[in-house]
Amino acid sequence: MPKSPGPATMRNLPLEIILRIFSFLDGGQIARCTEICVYFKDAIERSTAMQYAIKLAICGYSESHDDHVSSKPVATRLNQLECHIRAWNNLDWVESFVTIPNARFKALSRGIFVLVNPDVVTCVQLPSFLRDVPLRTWAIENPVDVDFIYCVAADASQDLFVIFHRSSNFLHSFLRLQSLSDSVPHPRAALPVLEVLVASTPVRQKSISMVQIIGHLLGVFHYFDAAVLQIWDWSAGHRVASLQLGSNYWEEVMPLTSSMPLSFAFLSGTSFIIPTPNAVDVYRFPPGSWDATPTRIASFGLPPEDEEGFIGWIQIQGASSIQEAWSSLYGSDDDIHPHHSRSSRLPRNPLGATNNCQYIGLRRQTHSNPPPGIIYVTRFYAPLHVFRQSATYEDPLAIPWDAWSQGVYADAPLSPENPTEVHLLHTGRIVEVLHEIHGPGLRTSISLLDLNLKRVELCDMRKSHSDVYPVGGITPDPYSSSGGARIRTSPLPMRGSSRTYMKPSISDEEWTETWVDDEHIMFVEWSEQEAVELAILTVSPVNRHSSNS
Amino acid sequence: MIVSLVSSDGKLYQVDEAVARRSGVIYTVLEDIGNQKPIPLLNVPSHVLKQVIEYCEYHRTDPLPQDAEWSGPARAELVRRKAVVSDWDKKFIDCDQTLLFEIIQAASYLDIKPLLDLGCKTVANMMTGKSVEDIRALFHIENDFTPEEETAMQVERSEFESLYNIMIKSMAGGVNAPVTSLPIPGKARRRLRAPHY
Repeated sequence: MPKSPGPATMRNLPLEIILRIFSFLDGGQIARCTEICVYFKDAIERSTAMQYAIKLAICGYSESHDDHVSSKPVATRLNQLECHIRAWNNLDWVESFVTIPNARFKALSRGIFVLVNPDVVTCVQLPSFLRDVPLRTWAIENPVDVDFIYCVAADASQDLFVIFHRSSNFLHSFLRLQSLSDSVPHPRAALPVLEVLVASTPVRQKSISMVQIIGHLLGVFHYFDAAVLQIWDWSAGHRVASLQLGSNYWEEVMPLTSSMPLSFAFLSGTSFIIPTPNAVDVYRFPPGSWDATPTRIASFGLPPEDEEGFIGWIQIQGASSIQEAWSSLYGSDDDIHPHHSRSSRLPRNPLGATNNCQYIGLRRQTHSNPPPGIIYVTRFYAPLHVFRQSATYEDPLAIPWDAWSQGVYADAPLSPENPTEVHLLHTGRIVEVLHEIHGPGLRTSISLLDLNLKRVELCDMRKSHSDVYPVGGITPDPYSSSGGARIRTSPLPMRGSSRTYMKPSISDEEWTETWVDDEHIMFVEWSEQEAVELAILTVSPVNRHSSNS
Repeated sequence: MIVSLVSSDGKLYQVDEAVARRSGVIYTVLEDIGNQKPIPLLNVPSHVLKQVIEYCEYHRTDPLPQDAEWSGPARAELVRRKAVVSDWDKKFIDCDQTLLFEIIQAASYLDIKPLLDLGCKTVANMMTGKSVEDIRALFHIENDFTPEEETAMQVERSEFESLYNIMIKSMAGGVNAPVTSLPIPGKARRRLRAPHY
């Protein structure tokens, strides 16, 4: 090695050392380093590993601990990612269809779609270019009468399938912990069935239920006598917390009505949010204690609606990505469920990409009543609010609330004249879906809105531009001296490409539900209360480069 | 066994063979020609070599890194990147910038990978969360982009600026003004319904 001239500085370090230093930075930071000086810019642009790190960040992925991944050279993985990005930019997709026996409930996790039928659970593994998996379906037994089921949830990375159901006399509710790949109870669950709560009065059949899985935690949101959130440690088989979101809670906001939808989402293993019509409440477990009741630590407002008090509902997008990101932290697939590697039913993830969720999208909207004979559409009026996590954390289970609240706040102006559905991708992009009846068929326009990552990064660095969105919610944040959570505004999204998908014919009774994940746009065709067909658009390079794996 | 090392400015250091073998280069020399003469280290001045020897003395009993661990599969690479820095190492590497870069260069030249990574990680930590200007100031790096290159990089920013101004204007109506006022059909307001589950 030549002796370096003059005193040692960052500038005269040899290339390999510079790259080694950068290898300790994350993709976003590496991208920023290209602006420091010509030497750094060249170094980063010439290095495959650096480009790979940047592309990973753009795609919202992070490298996994999976050895299977690393058997592929960086150049191959980089190529895969570039194809993936290009395919999204151009909305290149491959269409596939799955006709399914009528199903009542569905769950989606990590490229696996689960539909529940009376005796059987149909599992559909979506085709994936990034993960090198073909379309595949298999069935497991459904031990529960479908009429008794409130909802289902799945976490493919932990091979977990949860059925939340009631007893025949309405008085008992159960969480059944199943294996997703086999008709057996989940091998890691201490108890195969957890009894959630004994209601004092029979619980309503038509109530809103949600089950979310994050690592070993499982959250159940349900109306019993009142809205209840219970958090369970599903592997240990005990309840961690139970939160009564009683009628008082709702009276603060508005009278509880049967049309009042609500939800919750884990932000991390220690905090979760509960959106209400006008605000979003943040709850957190006291540090280090699971048995203490989580407390409300913050409440931030959304832009108020017009004078007539328009009540929409708030949807949290990206929650499944969070769930997957955390689940995959627990090690490689082998560590989690060895018996599945044998059957190798579940896809391994050759890219090694785990969804490193950084965004939460909240939207207010209203659903028009679907009158008979008219295709069900979602009417969307209010803008979409996007929160971005402000940094990445070594331990995502312990992300502080501030990391979200000081993230970016964006409003996505969506086509106001048209009824549209929106879906937030974990990259911060937004997929806008518009259904129109076109002759005997259904024409669906899909377009892409871009919250450009680089622009968002730039925005983060401009302290002078960080604007504060005032709290319009119910309670000021007691933890903040300024009286509210600070929300930074971000640039408006850029409108990207757009493409149309045609379904040649559709009957009057059918309607469509859309699901979007990092590689697919899916339409579930519903006929009355039952799903009948899946149309899967796999966003992947049309002319594939032959992969050498 | 004692190994003699000579710094670039001619100072002689005598260290235990186990300590000297932490360096991949010295390890190879000892394997190749044996421990006969003092080994000249032409790129390492004495004040740096002193530090390096201190590091190697402290870490003499650590297992030597396997090659696969340092440049191998992604999993190992990840383990390397996430490795926790011990308190002693933190204290050791807490020095002025010039010495830090000299230690990094010496670690690279002598092939002492844990020390090299310790140095690189320290520099990376110094850069984390800083703006481009801050990093330039911190490491005394001159902005050597041509005005044209600078402009090209600014294009995205200015696009962003104009968009941002639109946003600010729409919010100028005050706290209670909706950010965007989209037409809401009156009828639909009354017919609200829970989404299907």
